[in-house]
Amino acid sequence: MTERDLNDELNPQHALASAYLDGAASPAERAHVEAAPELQAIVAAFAAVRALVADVPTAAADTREAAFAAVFTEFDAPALVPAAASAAVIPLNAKRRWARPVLSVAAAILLVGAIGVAAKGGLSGDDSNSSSASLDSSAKVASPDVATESQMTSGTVAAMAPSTIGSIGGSAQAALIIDTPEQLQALAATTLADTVLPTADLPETTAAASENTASADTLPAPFDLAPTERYARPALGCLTLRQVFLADIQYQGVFAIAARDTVTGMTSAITDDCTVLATVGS
Amino acid sequence: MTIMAVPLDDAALVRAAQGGDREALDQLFRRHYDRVHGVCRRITGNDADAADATQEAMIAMVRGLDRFDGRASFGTWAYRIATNASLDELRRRRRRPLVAGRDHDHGNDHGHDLHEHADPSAGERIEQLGDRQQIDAALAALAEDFRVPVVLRDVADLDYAEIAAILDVPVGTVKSRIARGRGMLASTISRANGNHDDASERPTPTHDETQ
Repeated sequence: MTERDLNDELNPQHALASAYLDGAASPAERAHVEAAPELQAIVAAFAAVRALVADVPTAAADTREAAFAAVFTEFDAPALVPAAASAAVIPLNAKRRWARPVLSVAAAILLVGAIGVAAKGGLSGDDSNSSSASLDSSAKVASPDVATESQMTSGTVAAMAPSTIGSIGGSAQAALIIDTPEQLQALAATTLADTVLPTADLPETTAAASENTASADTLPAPFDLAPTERYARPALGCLTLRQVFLADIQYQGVFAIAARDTVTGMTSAITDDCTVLATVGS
Repeated sequence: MTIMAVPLDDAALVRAAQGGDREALDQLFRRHYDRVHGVCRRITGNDADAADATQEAMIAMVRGLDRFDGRASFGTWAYRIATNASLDELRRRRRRPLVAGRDHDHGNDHGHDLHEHADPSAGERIEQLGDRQQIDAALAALAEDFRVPVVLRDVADLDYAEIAAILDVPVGTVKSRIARGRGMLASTISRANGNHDDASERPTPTHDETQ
């Protein structure tokens, strides 16, 4: 749905009444609304809608307390990332410009592949489509800081610490420059070499992402690297329990992380404020 | 002399929680829990998915708390995470096979138009439901692009600028989507109540406004 479509057929009376209700009307608009019975009627209708929307059923006490239990399990878990892991990016020697991203991606492949092989047994139960199962698994994994082989083979979908994978490149990683969904797809493909994932549905895209048509068989030219800048990866806090961190990236000029959903296989570019810039299929 | 403890504001609680203070974290999250849950409940449309989305959102907040720098208010940051968690839950639900006996407040398991992400058939059943179920069904019939800003305004009480920051759209777009969303909700509920000639259903002039 385009922006133009979304703004089609905007009723100006509704726009006035809605702004008035929200206290966002100008003085002239307020006077106009207050002088027009027809507009006052719309305001009253919108106020009734607002009251209904705001009257939300509260969560059951056990639901609330289960959520808090999960929160404190996470809060009490050992720190995942040493403070030094968010250090400044190391400037690159121009001569090694092409070698470093290949080495970083290769290192990512090796570690993700090793974890993926160990995870095959953990993913075989395939009960992760149920959200209640995902809640159960997240509650069971009391110490998700290290994706050990024993956790992987326990039959649960382990909540893998994103920084466990993300730290493979060392404490200072340059962000890969990704300019298109196809490049994001290629990055995802390089980390999927040895990982078995459940069959995913047709890929969906979010935010500004376009339909992905790239083939995962051909790798693009080596990724460029973003200019040296400090990047502290706040976006790690945006990941769901099913998402794993793949790499620091700069997606169309915006610092973000690439993360993959271990259930659907979709890979997303996610910014520090949790905005999903693009999502591509596995 | 009685000394009254002044409740700490969000910024102070965040700082304390970042320093490892469990009690501060507990206070902070309990202060915002109902609204966070409310946002999730209205976006997802049912209690079960709302519970899942709320818990995922709260865990994401804990994981990201150390990186929260206070540039935005804690509430704005929290509702952004809650919105994303709710939309993720909706996407997961669309991939989920229908399970008999699943706890939905309404039978909103019809196929969704992937572009609109609304349930067109929900409106047909509204007239048979009570007020709370009516609004659930009306919201389910509303596309996410309109549902989310209306929910952030009317449940989370965020202003247009905060909603624009969360959704990464211009303020004008937020205003128009809320107005359109309210118009559609009012019209749906009014029709369900048998009112075929109310103010919210005046003929809509076609305007090509781009905001």
